[in-house]
Amino acid sequence: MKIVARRSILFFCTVFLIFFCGCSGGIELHEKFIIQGIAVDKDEEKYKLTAQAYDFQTPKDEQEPNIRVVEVSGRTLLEALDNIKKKTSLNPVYSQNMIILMGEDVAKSGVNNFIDFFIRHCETRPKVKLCVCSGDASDILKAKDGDKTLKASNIHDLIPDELGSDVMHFVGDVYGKISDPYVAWLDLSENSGSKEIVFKGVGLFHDDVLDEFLENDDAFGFMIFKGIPNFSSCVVKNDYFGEVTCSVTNSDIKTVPEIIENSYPVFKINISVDISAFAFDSDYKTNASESDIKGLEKSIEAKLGSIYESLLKKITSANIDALGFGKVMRNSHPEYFKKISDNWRNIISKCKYEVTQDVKLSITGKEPI
Amino acid sequence: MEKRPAISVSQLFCLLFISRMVVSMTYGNILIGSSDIWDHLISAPISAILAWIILIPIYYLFVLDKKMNVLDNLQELFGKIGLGLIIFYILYFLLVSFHTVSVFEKFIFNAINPPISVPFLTILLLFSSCYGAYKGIEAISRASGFIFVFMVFAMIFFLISLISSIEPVNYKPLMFGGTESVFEGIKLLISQSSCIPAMGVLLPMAKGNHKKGIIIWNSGVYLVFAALIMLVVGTMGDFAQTQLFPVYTAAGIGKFGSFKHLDSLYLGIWISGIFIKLSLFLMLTGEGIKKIWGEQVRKKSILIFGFLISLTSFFSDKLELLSSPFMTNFLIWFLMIISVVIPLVLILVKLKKRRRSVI
Repeated sequence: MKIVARRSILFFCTVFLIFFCGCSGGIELHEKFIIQGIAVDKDEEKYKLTAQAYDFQTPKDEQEPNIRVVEVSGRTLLEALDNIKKKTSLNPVYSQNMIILMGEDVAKSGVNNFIDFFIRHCETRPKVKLCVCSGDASDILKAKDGDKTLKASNIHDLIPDELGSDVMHFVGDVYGKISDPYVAWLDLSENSGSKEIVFKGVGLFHDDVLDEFLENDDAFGFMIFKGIPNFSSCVVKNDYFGEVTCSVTNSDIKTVPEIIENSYPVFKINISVDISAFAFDSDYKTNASESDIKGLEKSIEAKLGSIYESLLKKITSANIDALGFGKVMRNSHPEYFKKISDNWRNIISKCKYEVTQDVKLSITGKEPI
Repeated sequence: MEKRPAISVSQLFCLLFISRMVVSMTYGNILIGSSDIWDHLISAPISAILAWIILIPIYYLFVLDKKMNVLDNLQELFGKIGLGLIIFYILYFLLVSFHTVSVFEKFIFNAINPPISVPFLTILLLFSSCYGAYKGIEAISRASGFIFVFMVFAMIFFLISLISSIEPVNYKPLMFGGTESVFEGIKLLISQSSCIPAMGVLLPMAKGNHKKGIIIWNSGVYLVFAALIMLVVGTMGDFAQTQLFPVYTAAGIGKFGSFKHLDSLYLGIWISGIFIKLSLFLMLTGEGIKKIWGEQVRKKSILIFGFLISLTSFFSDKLELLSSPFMTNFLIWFLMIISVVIPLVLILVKLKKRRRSVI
């Protein structure tokens, strides 16, 4: 009996090893279309999709696979994605996708129309970066520097992780219905014949619909609110030093909402900023006194103050809660927020926002001040 | 009385910890429906206390005679009726196995969607689990020792990789939407406490300080569960509500140095956990069968039950009920009958008999 049992086990093990080892039916690397970036645009009623992927069928050399850009279209995003296989005869792999670029039109028509695939599909990842482009997103994914296609991984690296410009944050905000989502805004610029991709600012959404873009000082202020250092430089005018170029190295925001009876809430925002001044447009002033440096700090505070004021006005007057005031209110005054939550979007513009600042200036460099 | 296999208390509770973690790791929409997972942070300590209370009858019955398990007591005190009642235990252990396989299939089908067929994977898993059950508690607990160490390291790694991604603003006030989710959480957590009836059979097999083991095990289970909720909600916020298996999704977000996409680590420990849980519950089913029909039938029954459970994979769309929220209430009632009512009756009868014999 024991021998029969052992022989049966041996037989089954052999059968399993031969037929079910998992190698049969496997897809080889050269049969895969390993997507690195996807651009979604809208062309009349159809979704126009551009995918940048590694092509192992025709590798560049032994070290590096070729970058291939494929354009497909379909009535829905999934239909368009299915067409990748028809067009390339390769199997699309989404698990390595790093970035989703949305064209302006598609973002204005509502992201919920196509984002479901990126939440639901088992291969897609929630931390895939999501960004919006002015004009067509495909232009960015197809952009070439000389004869080289700009890699999706390089575009991905332009957007700091801390910004939260990804599928997870976007969908979380739309689903949560308190804060409004935002994504990084990328644009294409031409510089002496070669194309460059620029991280220009952010695109603000109302629910899932693109509402407006923030650029220059507004984008600079937004990045301070989100704790993104070194987004860009800020030029401050000062009586003693002339024009001083500074960059933010660290920012910390503390928001305390206050409820006022028979009135709208006040948000008291304290912004601590570490700022580094590194270029002075002056005549080698090497003997600046403490009061001159204090004066520079005041000038920076004044400049930042006007940036914050303009940013808050722009965002709140559009009834957009991209800075997360609603969540702060919910967490600190839950009972009050329950009462106003249905009407929160209309209240944003009526609330007061009082900003106080702590600026820590450090003057760096080899030149004495 | 037959000679029982002996394992240590630490081995027993490693085994039970793994079985419980399988549930915690698939905790999400599929089990909790629209209930707010964040409020289950309150449910966790309440459930931990309730689990201790529910455990009292089984523990006390064990203390009365440390050599006898619930099944032995049923046979000794109730004779043929007791053997009939053992069927309840067999059915419960089978139901837990069916439930585990059902959740496994849903997870594989929705979150992994592998190129090979899901029924085939299930059959493979059950085949290995049957082998584990056939070999008995000593073999399963030895395997669980390795898996436990692997699981603890993976959990620590998981914690470290996610802690930097936590956004405090995601922690909304507890019970923001009312107390409903807290109660739902308690119901769900208790309904998934299949380790309690399992202890009724397993406690006499383990040597050592049982009380200490129970306290550490129960505290550990709910502490890890609370930590998982903190991590999931802190990192994903409202996005967690859109995911069928938020713990799995969170594992994919984790980043630690150059290590990214730790979902493969999750899969490793989870599938090992499923194997342990299925082996354990098939073994427990076999123990019940042995009590009624003897050792030879036990061996065959494990294979038969394994085969029956594997059939669920072919009819999984018709057996949705097994992993549906409706199952929660049913499991609670079942759990109460076999963990509280029957052991309490056994305790009363046993004490009465003892008093009579003293007189």
